[in-house]
Amino acid sequence: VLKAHSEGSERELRQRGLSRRELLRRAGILGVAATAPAGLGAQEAGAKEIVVQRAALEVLSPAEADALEAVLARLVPADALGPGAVEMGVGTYIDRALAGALKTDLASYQRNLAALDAHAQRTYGGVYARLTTAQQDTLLTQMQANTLPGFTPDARTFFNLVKEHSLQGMFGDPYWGGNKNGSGWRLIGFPGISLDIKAHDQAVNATRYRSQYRKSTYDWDQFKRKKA
Amino acid sequence: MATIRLKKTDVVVIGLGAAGGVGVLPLAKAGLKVIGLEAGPNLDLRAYPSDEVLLAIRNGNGRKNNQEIPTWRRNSSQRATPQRQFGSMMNAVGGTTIHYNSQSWRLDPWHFVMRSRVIGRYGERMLPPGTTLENAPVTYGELERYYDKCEYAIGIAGKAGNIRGRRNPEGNVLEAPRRRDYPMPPLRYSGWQRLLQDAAFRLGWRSFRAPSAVTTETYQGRPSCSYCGFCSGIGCHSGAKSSTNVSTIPAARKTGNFKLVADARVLRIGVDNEGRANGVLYLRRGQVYFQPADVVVLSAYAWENTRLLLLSKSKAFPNGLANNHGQVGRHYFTHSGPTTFGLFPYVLNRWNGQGSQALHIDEWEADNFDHTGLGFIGGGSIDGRSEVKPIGLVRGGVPPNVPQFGSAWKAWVAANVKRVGSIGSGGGTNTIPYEQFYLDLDPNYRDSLGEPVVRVTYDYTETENRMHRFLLEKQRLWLLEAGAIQTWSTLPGPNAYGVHAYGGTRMGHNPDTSVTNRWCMAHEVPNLAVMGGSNMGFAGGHNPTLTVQALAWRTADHIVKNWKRLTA
Repeated sequence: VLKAHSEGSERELRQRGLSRRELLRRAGILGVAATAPAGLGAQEAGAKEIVVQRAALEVLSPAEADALEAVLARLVPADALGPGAVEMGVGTYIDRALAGALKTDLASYQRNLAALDAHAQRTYGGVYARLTTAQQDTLLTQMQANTLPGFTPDARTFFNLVKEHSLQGMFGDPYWGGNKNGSGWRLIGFPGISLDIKAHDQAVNATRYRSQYRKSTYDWDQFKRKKA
Repeated sequence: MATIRLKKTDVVVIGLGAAGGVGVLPLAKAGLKVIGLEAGPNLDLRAYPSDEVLLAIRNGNGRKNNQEIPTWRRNSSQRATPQRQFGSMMNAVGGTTIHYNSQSWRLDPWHFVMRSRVIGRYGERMLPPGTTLENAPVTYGELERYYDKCEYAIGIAGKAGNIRGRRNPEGNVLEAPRRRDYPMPPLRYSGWQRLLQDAAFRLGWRSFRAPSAVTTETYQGRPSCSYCGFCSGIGCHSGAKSSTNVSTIPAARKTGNFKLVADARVLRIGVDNEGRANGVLYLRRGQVYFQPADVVVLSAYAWENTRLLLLSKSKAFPNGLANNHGQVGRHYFTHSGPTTFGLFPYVLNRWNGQGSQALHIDEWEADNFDHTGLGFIGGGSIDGRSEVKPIGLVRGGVPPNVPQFGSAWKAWVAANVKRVGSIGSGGGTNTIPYEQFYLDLDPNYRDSLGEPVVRVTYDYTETENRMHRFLLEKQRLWLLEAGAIQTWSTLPGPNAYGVHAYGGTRMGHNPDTSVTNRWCMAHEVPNLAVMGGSNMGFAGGHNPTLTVQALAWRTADHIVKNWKRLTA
């Protein structure tokens, strides 16, 4: 179910005569090609356009989510090795967390994503999500090096915040909205959750595990809980 | 709403964690009526899902601690600010023993008399400038029987290396003599630890497995550990970890003399006209209660022990309870954990296992080596552990020469992160107290009840940096011998928020340099006991919890034996 503000923006967009594709994207149906239009990793690797459903946003505006997902798509791109941060659901992880446990970080995301868009606009004439991947990477590198002005408290701190939350979204339990279907764990070879680990599973070079693993800790009866 | 005055009890204990959770057992066993107040809830085994995000990162079972994060500054000329969003202490019956790594060590006898031993071997000039280090008012010899009681009552798994002088190389041959072996055999070796064991042998270093507060066979009716890999920072889903809420606290309840009150947040310690503690004021579900008691035991961790004393002002104690000598909050320091990473040509499978499943070397701990010319005292154990959770490994396990984002980062992580090992001094190194570092109440930041939070003024000096560099180099040698093809590390910054906090209510003979006496009873308040690391003005190069617990047991024993005199 879409949130009220998404529906609001849909009406606005219709009034402004935007395309159905743009409409779907803003409302929550997100084409990978639409987020990162040029030189996309997935396309370079010969993948077909993948349409990913963006979960209904909790606290970020569609524009903020666009900017965030464009950052995530460059932090950890979709490529020959498989899905990137966006496809793993990191955007959803961060948006949901900002509505709850990480709500003290919401203001930082809002202010700094706006600063990033403003900087992109000034330098390259478009919001961050609309830049080429080369331009996006340049700005990310400058953020990491702390040479981009206009961030609170500074660009590197925000870069590190998004990076830390991306790690949580990629490698944390899928229950929290990221690591979709265990895609993050698959990337690094983490076998999943088991409540009883056999000695063999702790052997050096073991790659075929004997324990029963699950994709989420909440798949075990003992920890069953309702959806986050 | 009026305060409800409850019926008087013999002893009221503030905080049921590592220290108070052990201290209540000998008190209740001796027949004293004990009421234990715990600020957190009484959780069951479903409260510890294998969820790194919820528990290890967001400290989901530490709600009180999360909203009273101490502020931190490096020196008293700076303005302190909160540095973290989430704390690392639990708030529940059992306290932080619920999610501790659970290594349970005896300290080396040297640590108790460090000051005089350093002067004796190296001369006075070897003592770092500005340190307030004193010999502890208790020796290993006095504490040995309490270590032993704790190991059996809590349930520790390990292998003795020195039973009354008989050495066994399967255990730590450098350890001090003990009266008997551990009640359970040690945790199994992981493949990673076998790799390290062979390397240590080639280096001529004597490796051994850590003692762990976890079952390796059925003990006290609890099942043995299943090595699930979500232990440290999480909690145990099966009751195998010997947290106080499944070991000593249930034993205390069985006596019929112990009453547990969860969700009881203590606000103040009461004082009568003669300056004696007369009970505690606490808040529970919106109602304020006063619980009178003959003896008050404060066991709420170093920060809260200090804060409650400073907040409990009275005519007799205008600067806070037991603080007429200005010693509350002084001699504060925390442990450090320098760590070196190594990339291996093998898949290490360190994911799983138990938090204290570790292979150790004590060659560089205590005074086990000659410090002449090194510029520091003590040292630390170095160890290779299992139980590396995925977010934590990726966060720490990427070397600085790899791009920090993009397809190159992703490719490196995908190919290598499962091959990254580490050797650390995770149990802590031999840090010491200094004149310029202390705890007090922050003038600017308050918790959700409007109480000031603790302000930490703490930093490492060049002495700690030299010790860290020394240990990092030993760690690197071990990794290389085990087959690492690349190693990396960073010099640790001050760990102001450590779960191994020392001082604040230091124990000692002299009221001008300590808050509690050799029994951990306040110098200025004869019927106030303090339990916890806040009593310790000394640390070892190992985890402190078992020493905290042995001291708590000893204090409880002292209260029992001197009941008439203490309550007269």
